[in-house]
Amino acid sequence: MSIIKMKELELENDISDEEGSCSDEDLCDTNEISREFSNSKLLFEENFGKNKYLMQLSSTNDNNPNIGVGLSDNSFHVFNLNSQLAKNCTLGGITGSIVDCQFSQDNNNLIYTCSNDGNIKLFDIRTPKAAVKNFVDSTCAEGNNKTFNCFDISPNGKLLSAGCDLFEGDAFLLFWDVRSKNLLGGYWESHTDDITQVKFHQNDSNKLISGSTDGLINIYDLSQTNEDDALIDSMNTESSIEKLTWYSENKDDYIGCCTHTADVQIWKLDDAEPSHHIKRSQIAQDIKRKSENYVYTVNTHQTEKSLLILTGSNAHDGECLRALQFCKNKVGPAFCFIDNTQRVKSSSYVKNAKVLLTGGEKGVLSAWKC
Amino acid sequence: MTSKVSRDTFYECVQGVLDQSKAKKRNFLETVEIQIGLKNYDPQKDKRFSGTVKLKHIPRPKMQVCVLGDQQHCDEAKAQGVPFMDVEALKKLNKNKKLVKKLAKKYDAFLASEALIKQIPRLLGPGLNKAGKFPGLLSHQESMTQKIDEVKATIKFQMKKVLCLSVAVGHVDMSVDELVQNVHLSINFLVSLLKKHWQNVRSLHVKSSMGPPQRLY
Repeated sequence: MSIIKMKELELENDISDEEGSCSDEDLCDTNEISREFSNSKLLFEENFGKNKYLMQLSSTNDNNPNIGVGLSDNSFHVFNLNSQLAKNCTLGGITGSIVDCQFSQDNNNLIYTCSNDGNIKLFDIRTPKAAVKNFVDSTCAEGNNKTFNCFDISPNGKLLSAGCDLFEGDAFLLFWDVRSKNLLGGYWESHTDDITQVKFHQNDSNKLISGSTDGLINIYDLSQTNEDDALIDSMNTESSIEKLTWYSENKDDYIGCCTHTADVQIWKLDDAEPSHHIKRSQIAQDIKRKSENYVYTVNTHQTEKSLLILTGSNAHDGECLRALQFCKNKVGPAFCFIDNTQRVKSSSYVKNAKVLLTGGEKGVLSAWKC
Repeated sequence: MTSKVSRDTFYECVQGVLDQSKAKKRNFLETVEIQIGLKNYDPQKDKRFSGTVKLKHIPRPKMQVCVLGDQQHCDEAKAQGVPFMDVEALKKLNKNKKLVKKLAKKYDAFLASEALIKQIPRLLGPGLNKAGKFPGLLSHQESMTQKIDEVKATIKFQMKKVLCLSVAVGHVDMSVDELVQNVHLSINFLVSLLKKHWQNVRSLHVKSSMGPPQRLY
């Protein structure tokens, strides 16, 4: 007689009810949506399978960009977008969940991937089987690694910085010399909780911002000799920071910030408060959705003329995805993505090709004309 | 968003918490917290569950807020008996780590005038950042007492690795109505942040510091 293993009884009795009462929809008819938002054309799509999330995206900034795609099964694939979307390679030897990735700014064949297990690996996609370099925190004992969340490379290509989860009471920002891969040191006095974002200014290799779940955006001048002097400014979002983006308009620097509570704050550098605080309820109105309770934000991107704010509704598997834009001190409608089918987890904008890449919970990579 | 918890259940549970607390008085003011357990949620894949929410009634009345003010705000603080410091007082700390740490420990939160907030890192170094007490902005367009109350009424929540979260939303000297309103508001907000709302909620409890949990959902 065969013995059947006992399964835990799990009744999902209100799923149908929940979907039925899922009370989010457009505030107006499709005609009005298409009058206000220009429909972004879906150029290409690649499906990685339903049970995988597309977690991370990065692209080079040329007309035929390379695209890096990190999935929730910890695999990482590189594509090229030309007259078609063609697979280039799969990277080998990645361990841990991929939390961030980025192409080198001066060589389209080089890509960095960052895993939460404390490894930042540099790959050459012409020899994708193994990493060329591995950046680790050499001060950690084996098996007691800091958890990495994010990283960035300075515009001069010399410095690598990573942000970590709270580790034994301290929230570390780590720095490496890209060429020698030596750990140069860290800052751990400026945040009180997990560091979720670190971004170099696009032109100034000494200017760095970090964001944390403690709600602070810190600005550092790395030319200073110690952390006390390097911390030049803190901006208190009074929330929890998910994404940060540098944005410049008419020589003014701004920071676009998405919070974990689906607000967007736009800070002009040197201001004491956000120049725009677009609350979740306001986003719902701006993207013409009935309920703010379903609004989520993806990220913000610098385009040629504006800061694109990518946002959507969690209802109905996240099929509603829309973009607002911030420019000349105003927030207005930009794009709708009628062919979108998923909640979006990651996005990347290719300025030269005017293409927005999105990836999400159904494991689909989409390239949109924007 | 339809709530899965009825008004009656809210009142019943909160009343239960208060009764338990009255039956066995503690020699401190017990806080009232909600505990939310999640399901179908993967911390590796899904969005972080982290942020702040402003409640209707102040959950921590004893919270001490210090104003780092310009002349006008210092005068106002003085008149209202609110603790305050001016630029000169901050300059005296001279980025001294021990003194800044001591200042951070003395108060629960800080507010700063526009003219000062930009100088804080230069005057104090990262000390307040490290303590998690970097000031919020106090502008001249809003009332000081109102802003202080806002700080007191705002709670932080963050889920770390485990699939449950506990947040203090009040204390046992609050009325049932006030507590129900705070519990209701925070639950609705937290649930709205979950991508599948109530389908991501495994359990929901309300309890006092020392009392047994009462199940809401």
